[in-house]
Amino acid sequence: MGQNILFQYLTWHYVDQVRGILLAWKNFLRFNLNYFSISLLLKTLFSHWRKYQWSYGRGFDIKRYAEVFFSNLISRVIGAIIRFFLILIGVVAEIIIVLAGIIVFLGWLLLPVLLLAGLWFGFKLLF
Amino acid sequence: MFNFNLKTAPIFQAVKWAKHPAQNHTRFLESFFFVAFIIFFLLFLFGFLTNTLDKISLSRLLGPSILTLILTIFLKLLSSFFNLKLAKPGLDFNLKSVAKNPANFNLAGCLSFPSAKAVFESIKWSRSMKILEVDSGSLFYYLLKDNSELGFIFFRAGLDFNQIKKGLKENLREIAFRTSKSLAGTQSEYEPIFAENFQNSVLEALKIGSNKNHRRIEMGDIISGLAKFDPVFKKILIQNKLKAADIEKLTLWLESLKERIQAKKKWWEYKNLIKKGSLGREWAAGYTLTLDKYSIDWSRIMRERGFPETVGHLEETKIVERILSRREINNVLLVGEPGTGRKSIINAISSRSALGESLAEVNYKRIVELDLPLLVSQLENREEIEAVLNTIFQEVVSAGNIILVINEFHDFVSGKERPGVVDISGIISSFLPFPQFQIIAVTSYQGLHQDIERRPTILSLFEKVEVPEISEEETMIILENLVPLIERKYRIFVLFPAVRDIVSLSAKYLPALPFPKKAMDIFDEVAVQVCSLKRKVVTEEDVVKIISEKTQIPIGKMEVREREILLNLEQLIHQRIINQDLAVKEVSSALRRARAEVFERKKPMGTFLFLGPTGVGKTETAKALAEIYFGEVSKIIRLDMSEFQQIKDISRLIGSAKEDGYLTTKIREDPFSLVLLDEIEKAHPNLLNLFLSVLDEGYLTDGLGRTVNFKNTIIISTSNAGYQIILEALARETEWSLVKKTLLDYLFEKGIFRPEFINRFDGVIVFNPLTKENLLDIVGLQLQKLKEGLLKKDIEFIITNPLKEKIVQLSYNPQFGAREMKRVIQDKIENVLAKALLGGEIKRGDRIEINPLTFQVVRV
Repeated sequence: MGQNILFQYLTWHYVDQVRGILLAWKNFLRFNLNYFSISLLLKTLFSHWRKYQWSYGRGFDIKRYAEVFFSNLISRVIGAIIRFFLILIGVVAEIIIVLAGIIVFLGWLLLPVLLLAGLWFGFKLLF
Repeated sequence: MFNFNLKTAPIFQAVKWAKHPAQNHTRFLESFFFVAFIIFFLLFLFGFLTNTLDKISLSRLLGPSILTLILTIFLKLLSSFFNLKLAKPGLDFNLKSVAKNPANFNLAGCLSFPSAKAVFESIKWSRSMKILEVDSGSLFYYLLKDNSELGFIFFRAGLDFNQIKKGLKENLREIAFRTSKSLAGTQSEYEPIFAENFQNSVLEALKIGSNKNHRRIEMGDIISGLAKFDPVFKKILIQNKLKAADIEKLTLWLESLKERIQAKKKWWEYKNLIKKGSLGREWAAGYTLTLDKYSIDWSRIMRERGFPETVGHLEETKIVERILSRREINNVLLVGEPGTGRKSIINAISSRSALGESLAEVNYKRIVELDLPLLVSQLENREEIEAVLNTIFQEVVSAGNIILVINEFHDFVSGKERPGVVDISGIISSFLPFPQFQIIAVTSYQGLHQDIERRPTILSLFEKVEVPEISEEETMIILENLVPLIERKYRIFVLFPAVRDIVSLSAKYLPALPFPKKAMDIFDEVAVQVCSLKRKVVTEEDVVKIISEKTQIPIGKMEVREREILLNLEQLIHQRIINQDLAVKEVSSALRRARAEVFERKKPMGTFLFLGPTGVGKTETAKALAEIYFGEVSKIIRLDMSEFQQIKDISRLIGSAKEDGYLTTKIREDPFSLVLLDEIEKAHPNLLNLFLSVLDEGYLTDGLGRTVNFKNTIIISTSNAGYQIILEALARETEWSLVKKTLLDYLFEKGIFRPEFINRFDGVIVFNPLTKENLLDIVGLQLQKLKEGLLKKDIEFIITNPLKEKIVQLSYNPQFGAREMKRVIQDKIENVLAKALLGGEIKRGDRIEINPLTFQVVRV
């Protein structure tokens, strides 16, 4: 029985919980990528917006050809612009999650020290 | 050997720490410091922002704010460390391996923290009371005392939790009084010995826990183990008409609730985060404006509902997903009876797809049900409907992310048109071959056989997936999930026995309807009934009442009645049947054997083959059984098997797409029936093969592929094949026990029946020919009926012996038994009486006889 309680605490704090925080961090990063559909948006960056596309039809008519070409181009450009902005927001959110994760991670590692420091500071302010 | 030592188990450390006074107050102190922090910090903030306090005062407020915050965090850390680490020490074995060989492991090491704590307390109590053996009673008490959540099990079972705890405390006092002297002298080191009921309870808990794939023996497992082995608990259960299995099911219910709450609390898990959905995923897909107008978006609905858990049909869901992922023939035809939960498969796929848990080709697609009745009702003519459908289907193809659901698909490809129904087979055929056009069509067996199979081109573009009804266990889970909704809706409390009986009774008495729908409907009806009676608690009696009303079967009374019937079956049959003592005895014993259910039985209630010459009472015995057992002769489904001599006649019996099956329909409508198969030897041999599964498994698959349950029927086949053997045997005065053997040998030899057919009956009963004395008694019975009829007209009919003898003389024929008798009585007695009554020869108050020589009415 009776493993050293301090040793157990240290294992819990610096192994079990650290693993848990890293896993949660990974979940948030993965979720954010999925929430902003970043991989799909990158894959379909230049696709037509909402599949709005026009057919060139049969035969060759330069006027119609140009018209269809530009219509399709506009559809693709609009799609690309809107997607780009969402990707951008997604990337920014991803960076924020990375930073927040670093803060939480370091905060957890330093928690015992922070608690002691807080205790000392609290007493100092009090007396 | 019972290997159980709590002190050496890793969990003992947590138990010890839990006893520490500081640990007991952690929760309170945590809350206290947190509140103090809030107060100090608010005061500090107020002073800081309003500039009303000087620097020293602000420091005096900030100091305690920080200190109380630090203490709150510190205590939170401690309690998390305790709950997550100490109370769950690492295990280097799993319960399954321990359950295989419990003697090799210290079982105390498998206990969860609450279980270990209860064991610790019960050992401590036994030591303090100087009791040598640790009894299961003390374990039961301490488990309940410290774990109020177990109250759920008892409240739901309709038991008073507090009263039980009081009773257990009382029981402990009794144990202490009875056995406290067993620990002789003062022992410095108390080594607990565990009573047999304690050992058995823990071993059973281990088995239950390992079956449930638990990591440790949880307190629910211990409670389930105690339900089987603790004498006090057993007594409580018997008094309240509960079984140990009920407690096990209740703990399962409690555990699944706890699991769900725990899973929801872990908001950082990917499974929970993903429920928030995603943005921009549909930008690569086209708009579906027309489809959106006439459809139900199941993906959206499931998201709005928070992706509720779907129960059952896991295998079918996976098959559907696999088909949808194919490049070709990626349309699914879901075939199942309405009410089997076909839509729950659609719901499951919608959820799995939206959460990205399905296959890559199905993930993030929209599952949209086309509301054809709405479309048809809103548009005026066929051309318009076709134009809109064409647009919708084109949208589906171009959008690229739609899986279309069409409910009751058979209605729309049948070629028939009626209000709300239009034939879309022409238009859909041109779209179905496109891989981008994916459909899940929902239909029934009848719809498949009657309508869809007539369109082989359409059918060939679908992959069929059959949806069977879900199991009783799965239905139970669905009902348990429904309980909170029903309770909130009707403001009632539902007891577990009511839920249990909804499932078991609807399985028994409503076999024609599928699970889960029948159980859900009954549940709703029971709730409405209880609510309308302004009562607060739903009990099993309410369920029995509703199902009795629905089926017109006196459930509950049935069991008592059946027991009485079975015990007195011989006398009851003999009220109608003369002679045939041996046959009646055999039928009665076989039925008693079958119904006592010494072993679990899948077969019908009783299956018998009656052999013997014509007119000896075979059919009459069947009628008597129907009347005695099911309350009325009309419960007989009589089939003259000479009408089923050709193979094509089978469809008449079990149905086909074109016609209803005579037998299967009747059994589906009224499962509590006696099936009488007259002259079975004349039926086509394939038909006898069909009955093999009925006699063996208790079910038959009808012409539409539905399973028809015969478990609540009595099946009697009659045959006069080989009656000459009986007559000859009688003439030679052969011993009766040999007659049956000779007769069966003859039947096998001539190939009339195969041994495997005969062996499947619960009893093969040979009826012996009637003697003159028997016939005299039968005449007596028949004339008695006439006498009772006349007595209602105040006419006394005196039955004389010479009359009886004359009737027997006129009707006796060893080959036809008593069959002629009915005709003779009709001719000679009933006709004469009718004429005399109409002609005014006999009047009210007369006493009459019939002259046996002239058959004239004589007044006496």
